Amino acid sequence: MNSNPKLELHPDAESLNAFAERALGEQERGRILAHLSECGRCRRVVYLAQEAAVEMEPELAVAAAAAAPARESETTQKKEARFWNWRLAWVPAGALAVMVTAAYVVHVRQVEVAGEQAKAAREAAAQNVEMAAAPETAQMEMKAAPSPGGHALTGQAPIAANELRQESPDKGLQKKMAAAAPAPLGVPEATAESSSDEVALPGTSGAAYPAVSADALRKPEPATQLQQGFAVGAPQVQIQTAGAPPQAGTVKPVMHKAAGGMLAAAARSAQVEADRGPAGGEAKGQQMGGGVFALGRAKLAPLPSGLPTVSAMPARDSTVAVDGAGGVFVSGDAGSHWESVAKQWSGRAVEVRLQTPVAGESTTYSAGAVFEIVNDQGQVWVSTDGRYWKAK
Amino acid sequence: MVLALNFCVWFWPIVFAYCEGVGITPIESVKGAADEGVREQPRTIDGALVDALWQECETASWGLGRGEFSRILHEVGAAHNFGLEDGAAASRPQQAAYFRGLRLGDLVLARACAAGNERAWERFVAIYREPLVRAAIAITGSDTLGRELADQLYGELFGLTTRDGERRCPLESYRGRGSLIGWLRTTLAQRHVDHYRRTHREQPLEEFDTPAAEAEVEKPAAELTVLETAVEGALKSCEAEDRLVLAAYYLDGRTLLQIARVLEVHEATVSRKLKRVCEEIRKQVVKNLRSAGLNRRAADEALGADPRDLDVNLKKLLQYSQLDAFKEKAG
Repeated sequence: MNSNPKLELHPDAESLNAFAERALGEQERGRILAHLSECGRCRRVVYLAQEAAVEMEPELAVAAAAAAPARESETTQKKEARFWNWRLAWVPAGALAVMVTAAYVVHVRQVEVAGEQAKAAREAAAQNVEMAAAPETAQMEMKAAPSPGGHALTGQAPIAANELRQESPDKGLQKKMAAAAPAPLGVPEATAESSSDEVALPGTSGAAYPAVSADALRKPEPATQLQQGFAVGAPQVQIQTAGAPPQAGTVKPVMHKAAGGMLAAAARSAQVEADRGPAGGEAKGQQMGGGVFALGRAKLAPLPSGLPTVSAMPARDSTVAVDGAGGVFVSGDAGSHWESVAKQWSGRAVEVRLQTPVAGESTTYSAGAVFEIVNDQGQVWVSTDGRYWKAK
Repeated sequence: MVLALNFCVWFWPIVFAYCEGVGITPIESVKGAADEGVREQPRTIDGALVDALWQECETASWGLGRGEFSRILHEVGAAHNFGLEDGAAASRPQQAAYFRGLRLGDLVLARACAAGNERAWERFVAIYREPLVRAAIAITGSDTLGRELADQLYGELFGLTTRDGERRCPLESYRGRGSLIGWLRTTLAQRHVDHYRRTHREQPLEEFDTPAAEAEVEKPAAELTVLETAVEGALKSCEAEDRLVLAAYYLDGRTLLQIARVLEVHEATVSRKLKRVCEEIRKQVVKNLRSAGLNRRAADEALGADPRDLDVNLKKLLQYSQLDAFKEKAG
């Protein structure tokens, strides 16, 4: 305790300094505070010391660092460690924030693209329906051998079009494109053995995938999507009944050439329309191979030749496309990037398709997808990866 | 039987381990163990603690032996009762916590300087000499006065002053609460303020105007007397920190930033506190007026009185002395 000449009592320098540096207990701090509230002299002392401290802050830091005991350095280390811990915590937090933002942007973009795609598909379907309802409506007859409990699949284009209206635009477009395949290049073939209504899809084994009823073919169930290409080359559909001879009841839909040609034209127009899309065209196709039969969406980038895509066929892990000049391209990433394939065939390639399974065999593609290229003379080359081709 | 045996085999080791963990030894009574750290009133500081602190502070390098260091710790601890209330006994953990909260490094250096250790003085001069001068200049606002003030304090610190034939060093009064540089700054500020107050009183008389003859003191109106009493009561009912803020802002003319630095709060906090205190004082004044017999309307009208009509010495009200707040006498 210090005194002034009038014997006033004041806290000593250490108490005032400890008060300013928050080094006092609550009780003593209260006493100093009470004194400061009444003592102008001590308030002035504290203010002057505080102002000097503010002016000397850089020097203080040096002095404090030089005179700090080991305990203080430990405290500093702890504070620094805490700071670094927090700093490190910001890294994953920032990364997480970036990921969330990116996911949101991608999601929004996908939603927009899906909306545009659906709109385009609706327009294409509407065009096809109008064409199917024309006087030259194609009729498709499906001849079925009589069998107990069996059924004959008889289809007419207008009826199919009516069904398509009830389905989702994308699925309707796919079915329309599949149905539009010209007969020589891949007539949809259905084999029915009609003791039951089970359908075994090509490329799938009955044990691995549940069979579906034939009626389900008319419904927009994902498991009953018909295997199909983009333009031409629709694969087969087999309807089998367990225990019956494969050829006993075969239903072969026969498409009139007129109808086939018209629908193929419609499909091509849809393809061309899809090619005009912002990313060079979007298409849907089924990827099939290794027992996997799933509807996949492929967003095709423009071909390196710059020409429109005449034919494209996605498979398990490759996509093969043919451009207008007969050039063949293969993509390993579902059509995002294309590689040109060296010409290993004669003539001009006009179509790519998956290998047509032999009638009655339901495991044609069990070993993997086999691409086929058809040239302008009708000759066929086959490849398992789309890069190396040999004559069939 | 097997279960009971297993219980004994596992239970007692756990109990013994727990007792060992909390510091209960088998030879201590249960009562004594329960009172550990609560009723223990050691008159001495734990030797192990002294050893640990002695090594941490590198006391030996300043020429202070362990015995001297222990004496310093006793003195420092007893001066403020280890940070506890008067009369309370500090347990060993409380002692350790108190010493860990001190600036023991600064304390040892200061005591070594006070003892005249040459190496300690070299260290002190290297670290604090220049900051001392700069602090003095900052406090006085003058280079000449600042250096003079710093030299004066430096001479005192070096022990040039004697009392009763004994060399006195102000560093002996430093007890490690707060930093040594802060203590030096505060000591400089104290010297400067005291010097200013002394010299201010010694100003020549001709600087003062001759006071005019006092006019006849008119008897204030009854409402004003009531208002003065109400204001005095309201100010006295304020808490210490509120009075400090009021005095610093309205009497000392300090800025919000300066007050905030002293209280170690944000500037905005001081502003809010100031506003709140003024509101509370106003309410309290109205309350006092109403308790003095005025109705609400009369109380509001009284608050609108010209402050110059009031004979209220705010400085006196806010700075009345409480000499009994501190026990020590000047000496």
